[in-house]
Amino acid sequence: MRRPAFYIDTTACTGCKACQAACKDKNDLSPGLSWRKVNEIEGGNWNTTNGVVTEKPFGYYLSISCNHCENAPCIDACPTTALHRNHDGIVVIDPLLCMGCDYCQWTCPYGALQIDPTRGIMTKCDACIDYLYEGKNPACVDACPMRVLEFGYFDTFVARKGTTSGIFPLPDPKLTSPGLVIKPHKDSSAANESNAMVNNTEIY
Amino acid sequence: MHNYFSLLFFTFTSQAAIGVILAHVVLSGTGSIPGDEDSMVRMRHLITIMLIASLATAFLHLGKPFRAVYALNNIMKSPLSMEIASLSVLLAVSLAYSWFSHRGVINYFTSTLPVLAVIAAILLLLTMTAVYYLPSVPSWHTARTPLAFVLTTISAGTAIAAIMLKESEVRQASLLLAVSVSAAILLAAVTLTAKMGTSTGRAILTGLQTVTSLMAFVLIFSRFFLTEMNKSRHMTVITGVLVLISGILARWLFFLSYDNIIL
Repeated sequence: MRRPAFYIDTTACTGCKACQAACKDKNDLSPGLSWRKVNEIEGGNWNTTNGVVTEKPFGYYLSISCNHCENAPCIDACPTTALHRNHDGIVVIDPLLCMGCDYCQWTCPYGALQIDPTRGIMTKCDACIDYLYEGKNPACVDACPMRVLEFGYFDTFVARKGTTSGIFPLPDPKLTSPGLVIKPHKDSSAANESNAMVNNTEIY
Repeated sequence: MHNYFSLLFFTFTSQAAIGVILAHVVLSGTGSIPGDEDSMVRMRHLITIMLIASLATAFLHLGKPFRAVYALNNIMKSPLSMEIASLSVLLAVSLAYSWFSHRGVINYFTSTLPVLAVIAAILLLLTMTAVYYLPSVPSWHTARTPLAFVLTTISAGTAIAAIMLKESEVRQASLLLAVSVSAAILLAAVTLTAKMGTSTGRAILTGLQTVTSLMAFVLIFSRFFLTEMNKSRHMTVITGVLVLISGILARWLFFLSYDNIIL
């Protein structure tokens, strides 16, 4: 089975959050739920040259949702088997099986699983599976005005775009083998190597 | 994000119940206190009540409690499924043991129940540890998590057992063996704990749990060996309650230390 994947070009993302808004709109997500989140990463340091101190700040944006990981820990963790991989390799939830135990949320290092308090069950990105069956892209991809977000297959992206699957603040890709390929920002550090901070930790 | 109070109650009560089971088996197995004594029968009833309360809390914290019937669907892979299965088996054994004790039935079947209870209790402790030993939560993905659970089991279980048995007469020589065995387990746990993490939070947590575990042993020693303390049953209860409060505080700190690497 080919691994579905997102590609993100962090060198060109402007952080407009159109992908985030399109996802919420398409999936009718209530406040507090956001299956895709644009993280604002900021960092910098001071350079001293000939006694003159200058600042060297940087910032970049990283749009992240469920990466439909090859070794998805949420699937193994789910006690009811509500979380499973469909025949297209996309990790989906059976809403009639989920008992809302929250356990999968702990196991996902990408924050992709979010409990819907009104329905009492877990929710997550399904890569707009209905759109995919109609031959369309996920809503977030088509909403991106900079065309820095793409959806396809991991092996295709790796062949065309490189092998980076993790930069700060993402976890080490070895943890879950995510379906994610990133064009890293020039100032970004490797996964698990913090040289900056995430400026927006809230979910709206 | 998570309902930590229900998880705190669930984990602490379950582990305390496991501790009481182990204390019960060690005390009756070494002949310190006869298994058919009233206080020991009451202890078995208490274990059952604690396990029922744990299971009820586990169900009630779910978003869809009635779907808990599906909780064993992934028993081969999900630590949570295994934990629920272990707890269910332990509760069934405990209920049977309580019922037969109440009816005064003693036969081959009832004599195997304590062994089954110990096996199910250890399985529950192992699966409970597996539930929290998550790579995505670095603060829990250390050897300190299983050690914290073992320390809670020993300290809370011993404290509750001492309170329950405050009226009992014991055979001191065999009790010394029972306490020595338990103390050896504690010593091994504490030694390993001392080698764990260096952060302030973990150091406080480890220190707190070590102190509560030691207090539990001081409690049972003073209760049964020191003549003057032996007369003070209030002291037994007060010390036991302090040990339990400290254990709950330590568990609360454990949940506060949750630092998922998620965005």
